[in-house]
Amino acid sequence: MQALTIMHADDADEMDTQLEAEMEAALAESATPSPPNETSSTAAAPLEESTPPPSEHTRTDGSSAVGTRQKRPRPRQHASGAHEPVSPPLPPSAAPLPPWASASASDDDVGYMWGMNIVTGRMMEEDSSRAKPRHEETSAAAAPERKTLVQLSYGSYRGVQLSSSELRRIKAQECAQMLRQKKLVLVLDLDHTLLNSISLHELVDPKLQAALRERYEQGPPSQGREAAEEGDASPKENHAEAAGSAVSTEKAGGVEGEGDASEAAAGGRDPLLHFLADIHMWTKLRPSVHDFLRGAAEHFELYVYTMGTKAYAARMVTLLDPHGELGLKDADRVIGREDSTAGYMKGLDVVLGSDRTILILDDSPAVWPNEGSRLLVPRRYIFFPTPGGKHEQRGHLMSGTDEGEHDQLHHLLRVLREIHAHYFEHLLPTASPLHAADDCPNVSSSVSSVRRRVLAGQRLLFTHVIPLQQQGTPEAHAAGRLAIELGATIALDTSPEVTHVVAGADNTDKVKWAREKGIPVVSVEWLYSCGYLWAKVEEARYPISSQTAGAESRDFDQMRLLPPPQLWPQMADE
Amino acid sequence: MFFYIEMERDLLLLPQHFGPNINRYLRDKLIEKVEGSCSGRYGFIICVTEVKKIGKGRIREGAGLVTFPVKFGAVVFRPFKGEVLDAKVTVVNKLGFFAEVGPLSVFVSKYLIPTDMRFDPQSNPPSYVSQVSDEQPMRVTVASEVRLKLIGMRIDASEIFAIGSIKEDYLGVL
Repeated sequence: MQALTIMHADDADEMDTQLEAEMEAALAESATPSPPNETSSTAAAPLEESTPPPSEHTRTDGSSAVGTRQKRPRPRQHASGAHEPVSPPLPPSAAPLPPWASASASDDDVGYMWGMNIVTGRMMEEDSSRAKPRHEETSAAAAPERKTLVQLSYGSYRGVQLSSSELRRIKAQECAQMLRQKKLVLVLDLDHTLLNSISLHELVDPKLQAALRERYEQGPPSQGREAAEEGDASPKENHAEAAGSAVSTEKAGGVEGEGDASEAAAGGRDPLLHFLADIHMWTKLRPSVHDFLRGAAEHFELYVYTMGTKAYAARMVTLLDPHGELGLKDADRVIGREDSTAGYMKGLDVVLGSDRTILILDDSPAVWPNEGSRLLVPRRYIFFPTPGGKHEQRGHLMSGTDEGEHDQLHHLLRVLREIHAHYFEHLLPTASPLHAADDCPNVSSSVSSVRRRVLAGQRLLFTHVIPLQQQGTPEAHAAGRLAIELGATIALDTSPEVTHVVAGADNTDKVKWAREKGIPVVSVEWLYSCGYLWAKVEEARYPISSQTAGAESRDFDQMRLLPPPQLWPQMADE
Repeated sequence: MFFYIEMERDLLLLPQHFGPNINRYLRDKLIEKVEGSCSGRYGFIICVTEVKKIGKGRIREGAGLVTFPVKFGAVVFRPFKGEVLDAKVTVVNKLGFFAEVGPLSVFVSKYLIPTDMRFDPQSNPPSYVSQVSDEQPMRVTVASEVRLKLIGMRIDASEIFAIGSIKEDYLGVL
């Protein structure tokens, strides 16, 4: 019987540190020539075999690892050569790391897991106490440096803390790899972008409950008639049942709702409307969301980033990606509110992709304060009525409508493909070769150029839209900015080149002039729709609306087009 | 490493268990309490093999509960820095992989995976693969068995975590 003595371990540790110091000196000599070569690792090898102090061993490997990637393919390292004698050549397109990645890749600034350095295995406190004597005079500067660790908490990355330099390194590698695969990154918002949810306790209005039940049983309005004809017996039965007490039918609906989505579709019910008994919610997926995601996944690595909780996000992903073909079920790409590093805001720092290749799809620009044109803003999808407040909306449910198959998401998929094509066909070839991962072209410029095609060649004349004091500089106004963003030019006065008159009110001089000349007169809604759908939408569908209704919706839209305030607590309601 | 050691624990027993079966109660309670637990000092207690001695109980004033000091022998698993262990991979991601050595979680970062093994995000579940042109590729993926070496450990009062490496001779996929 052997009693366990901790003393032993401590002694070993002391020996380790002594040895470490010796070896550090020895290695410093052999490893100082900038490209770590075969000699340096063989020089280290005998030492390893005699008494391998773990941390030191990996230290040499850590530095030569970077060397390998940077240099040509070279014989496999001594340490790992046990199984195969032949060294595998690295893929020819393997991108060498940018200089900062190789030179500054000291073990101290990689990251921590469970408070241990993931390269050396040293404890974090140990590292910071070691760091102090090294740069004594800059110890004041070193302390804040420690704080730049970014904590990842989603998926299997839970508990990892990465230094900003390591994060940059990962993002650069990720970028190079994605570009090899001809893929970009797409970060998706859930609520009001891909779907709309309502929790049961918000569902108090009996009218709403009735509408919901009807929708659930009879499917979306366009198919409603067919569905009713197809299965005429069963829906009616359900309907009779539905006349019972609200609570009990709610439960009955819940049990059915848990059934397979395809089953629901076969029954003629709305396959996009789900009742989730486990989280007490109704969720309506946006029409053609599955086509959209499938299409987008061909060209993009998808991430989900929501202001909802992680549990909610995970549940939504099971609806969006039931068969796991989009890679979203792999929880490493689903980011919830808890994971964000800034409250009420979303940040790309926790997304392990290069910032330059990320596109964002989110209906709330306010939560992405600094992302500029990489952020694509779709029209807000509101299916369930949003109660109260200034922006009370009836939602598609109460108006008995829904977006069509070829609406917002359909257009966005087309746009995403265009952006992807533009990036890989125009932007990338003209940029410096791939290996400069840190200056691979920014996808924002692709976005801008694709966006400029939307109304290219059009010349808009605004009337009663832009306030008098801003008329000299139409780009100061949201509508004017949008027009320019879409590639249109703005006429300041009537001229033969004008193609559209965008009117905020009827019977102005300019409207009269346009009618005389046969130039289309449209409401501002037309311009916003062009912006949302990334297409020159049909003018006839946007006649000048009656003053009040137009003004109201315009206010709402304008508010979202304006630069976001720094903090908008309302966004937290998602 | 596994050890057989003797330990002592104080067990609290409710008065309702006082009776002919008191020894069995104490034994059950001991097993329930210590097996599978982890102490920073002794590591993970795998199995209680025998109860050596049950000392004199002391009645807690005012409560009626009795504290028994119990001496027992147990097999413990105490990982050490530098120890080589076989582990089962549980999660693979861009930063490395997690593996389990029984109750011990080990993280192996990509810096401690041989440099010729590259992360393959296409595979499902994700994996680290070494591409050797003419051979079956070596693949570290979920449920793979790997031999790894512990290079760092965090020992808390009731938890042990470790950082491992497979970037050395005779380490890697089994």
